[in-house]
Amino acid sequence: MFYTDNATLFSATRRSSLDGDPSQPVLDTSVFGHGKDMVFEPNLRVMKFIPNSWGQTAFTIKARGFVYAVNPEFSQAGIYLEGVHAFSPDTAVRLRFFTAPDQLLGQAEVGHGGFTGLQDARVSSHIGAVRLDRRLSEHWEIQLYGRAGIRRFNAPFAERDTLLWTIGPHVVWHMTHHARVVLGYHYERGLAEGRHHPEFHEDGSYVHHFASIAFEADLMEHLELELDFHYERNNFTTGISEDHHHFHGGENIFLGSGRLLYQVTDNTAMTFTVQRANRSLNSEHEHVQAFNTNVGLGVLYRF
Amino acid sequence: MIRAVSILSLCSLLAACHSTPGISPQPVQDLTRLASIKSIYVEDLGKEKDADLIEGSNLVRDQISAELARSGRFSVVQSPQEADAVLAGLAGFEKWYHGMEGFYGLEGDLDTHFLGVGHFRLIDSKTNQAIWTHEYERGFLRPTQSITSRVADQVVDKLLSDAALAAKGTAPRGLSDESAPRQLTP
Repeated sequence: MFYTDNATLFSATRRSSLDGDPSQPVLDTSVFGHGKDMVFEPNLRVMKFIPNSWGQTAFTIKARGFVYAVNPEFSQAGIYLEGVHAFSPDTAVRLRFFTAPDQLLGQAEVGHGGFTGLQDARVSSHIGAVRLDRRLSEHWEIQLYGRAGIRRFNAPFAERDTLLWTIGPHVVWHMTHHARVVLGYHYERGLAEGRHHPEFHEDGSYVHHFASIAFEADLMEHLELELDFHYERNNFTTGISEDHHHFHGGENIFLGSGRLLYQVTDNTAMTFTVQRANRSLNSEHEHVQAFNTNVGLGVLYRF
Repeated sequence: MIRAVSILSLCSLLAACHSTPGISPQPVQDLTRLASIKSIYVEDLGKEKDADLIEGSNLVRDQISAELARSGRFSVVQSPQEADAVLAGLAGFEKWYHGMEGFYGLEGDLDTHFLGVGHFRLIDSKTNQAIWTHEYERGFLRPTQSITSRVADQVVDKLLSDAALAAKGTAPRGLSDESAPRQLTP
């Protein structure tokens, strides 16, 4: 259960991680939903290990929801299908498909394509990802990450439909068996449908840089601490000068988060999470700054 | 209505998924025979027919051996032939994760939680019959106690306490006639 001070940004902040969806779109200029909310975040994961002669394989299905108490129209769900195969204790490959259908981002003014006035902006994301993990030595590990996908918006915002692909390395320093540092960088290219329709004056194509550093450590036998800091830079690449929102524009996002996990019983663990994000959008005609703080208490139960 | 049915179905499915690794032994406490046991051999606790492979069995085995030897009540011997009884079963832990990170031990113990596993049988070396059994009881973990210590401590504490009761010639507390484990005739 989370408290958030900004309902429109909550899901984007929660999904911002190296294995998450850091480029999930948001609507900084939504006319509603910027207030406080309580969000229930249920997670259900079913996992099956399959040992075989080529190593070990695991299949996972995970459903993750965000259920908003004050702004229920923002409630949404995401489904993850993941397969991991470890060829040896040093080498593994992970494949993941992530889908988040019909996610409400907020409301914005539209004045083209037969739509006028305030309209709900909704997006469905379908993204496939692959990660190759290779342990180089006792202390060092490298991961190569790539993903590709599509984001489809509802009809009034169809020019925002985006094809995206991402590539990036992660380096993991295993300081000890109980502490590690993870450094990661992603380069992402997003190509919006609006680049083919200059008459709409909206082309959200971008180049996205995402850098992350995380420190994770077991403080005690059953108490773990995770500290993350992310920096995200989106450079909008449109050449449409009438696109006042994106032309010569960019976006900076700073996100810090901390999480404590404590295993209480054999089957139960508790989490305490704090996140703070600072987003600023700058273009020739626009400057928008937004903040998001999330604080949450959670329970994990293993059936 | 549909929502209620969905939630009930999901709860039933999750309850069905609630599994205990290995095969739980039928409760047995032959206190008369237990009173006469002086030496114990602790078998490999990582293998059991039809059970999933679990981790940490060697650690549990070592800790049980050390604690039994320290107790002074039992001596721990190095072969089943030297022992009055053999402690057998399945013990250790299963890992569970809040991410996919801990998979295959590739990234150490981080993102990992531990579920204790312990099914123990104390088997008479002469008759090859179970004298005493113990099932690990899940519960609250002490912040500094490892899961292997918890499994080992629990079985040793129970064995010593039952051995003390056996020496006094009394039945274990909390066992009614109906719930009492099967008493074997020596």
